[in-house]
Amino acid sequence: MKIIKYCKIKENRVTVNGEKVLETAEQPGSSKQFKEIYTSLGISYPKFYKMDMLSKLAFLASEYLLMDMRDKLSETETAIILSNRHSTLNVDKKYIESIDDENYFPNPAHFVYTLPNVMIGEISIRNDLKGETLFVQVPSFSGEILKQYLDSMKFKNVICGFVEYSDENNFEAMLTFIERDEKNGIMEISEELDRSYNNF
Amino acid sequence: MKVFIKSDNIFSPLGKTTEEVFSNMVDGKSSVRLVEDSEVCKVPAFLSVFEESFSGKLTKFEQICTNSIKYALADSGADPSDKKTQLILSTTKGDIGVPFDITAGKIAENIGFVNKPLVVSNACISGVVSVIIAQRLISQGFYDNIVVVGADVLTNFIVSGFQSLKAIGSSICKPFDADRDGINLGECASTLVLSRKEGAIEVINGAFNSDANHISGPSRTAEGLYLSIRRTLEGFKEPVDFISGHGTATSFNDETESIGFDRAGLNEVPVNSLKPYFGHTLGAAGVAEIAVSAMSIKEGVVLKSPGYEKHGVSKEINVLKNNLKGDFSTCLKTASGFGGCNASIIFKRNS
Repeated sequence: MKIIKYCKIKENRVTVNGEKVLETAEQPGSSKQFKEIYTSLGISYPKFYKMDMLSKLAFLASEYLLMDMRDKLSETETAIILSNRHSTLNVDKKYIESIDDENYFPNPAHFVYTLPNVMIGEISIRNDLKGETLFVQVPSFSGEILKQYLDSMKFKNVICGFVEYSDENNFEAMLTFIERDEKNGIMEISEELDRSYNNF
Repeated sequence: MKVFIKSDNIFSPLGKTTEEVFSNMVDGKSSVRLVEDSEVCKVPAFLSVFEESFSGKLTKFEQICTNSIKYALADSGADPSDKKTQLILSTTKGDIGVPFDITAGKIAENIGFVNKPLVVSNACISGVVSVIIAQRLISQGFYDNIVVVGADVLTNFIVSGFQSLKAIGSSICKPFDADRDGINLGECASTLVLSRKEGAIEVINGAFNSDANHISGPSRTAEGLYLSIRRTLEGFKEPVDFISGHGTATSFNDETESIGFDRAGLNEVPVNSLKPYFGHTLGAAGVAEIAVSAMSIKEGVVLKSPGYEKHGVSKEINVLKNNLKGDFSTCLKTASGFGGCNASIIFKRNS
């Protein structure tokens, strides 16, 4: 396995393969910042506006990742595996507010996003990907843990990474595009993943 | 390398062991009832919840997981302190607000696992997917034993959420029936110990695929489910003797499932949904329902699908109205979930 492209969104920057491609002006982690990144993509995808912050972040990172990579996507053999520590904490809090004793009005639009694999669903819908998709919870970004899961999945290539949004001050996305490779890479995929993650 | 189910447990309001749960199911019992406890649901709902309270240092979630794993480990021959033994936790919400790795870590430490556990959280297919991952990791030699524990507890958060989607039924649910009107939720912890060492049931193959259609409704053509079933059964020469479906009793799910089974040519195969017996147990569902179906193979009884009286899906599928005695060797388990995910797995009697 080999990483052929990676993308990171954190603080006020979007980087691709370690190089800055966008620096944003709006408050990091805000809806406005995410809209700014969305606009920079030059796409039209109205479903974006319905997503919660975690799904928006995952979507934006995937759009940067898959830019000029779409010919590599296979409807059934491109997999997706995403991870994070806090699951859907941000929207969980929003949903809990809607079921407060004083003001009980459960909000289905929030509830639907309280499962962490839904952000993967958004990416698979956008790109028509029907392969294996998986969300796993991890204590922190870990190439070693992701490698275990990659070893258990069947794919020709895979979108693999870490997308976290617990609140405005705690968010980041790191996505890699990994291909199966006959030749042995210079380093293990677990090391490649850690190295790419740390290269921001 | 072949992979087997070495032992299992279901820790549920319907029983504290797989044998007890299965026996109650054979007798047609259900632990689903109208629950009016405001701790669990502000608006009353048909649920399966533990009657007893779980006080102590560990949370309820941690306790039911620990109990289930301990029961299952007792018969398994697996040693948690072995480096080649791993634990996978399958859950949708865990202990809400607590990172799952902390919960899983506490459970693992309590029992003596030496490896840091893995946590799969992929909506209602988490259980089936965890078992598939375990089978693939063992068959490739990464581990000798993997303990898969699936669990979820019910809180107002989860119940009110499904109520806001108008997804909960007005009585014990009736999968595939024309008058079905929604799900029952259930809390449960269930464990399967998968191993290279021979056991009564062999886990052959599994697959998971996405619909790529809608985040909260299934695909009209059962795209992901069909792909998953096709991949699971690829190269499998024996007939499927029965299917343990997802059968949540929502209008959409059951209809889509019938389309998936039809596309796969499984119209004649006896089908049940176990959800009327102990509710939709979310992260535990796949694990517990595999355990029950494995008992069906061992005991020669496939359970009826409760509540099914009038055929209520557009495709011809063989939903069981009565328990069926016979010689059943193979079982296909299917599951679907929010996000458009689907999974299936085939297992059989070890001959």
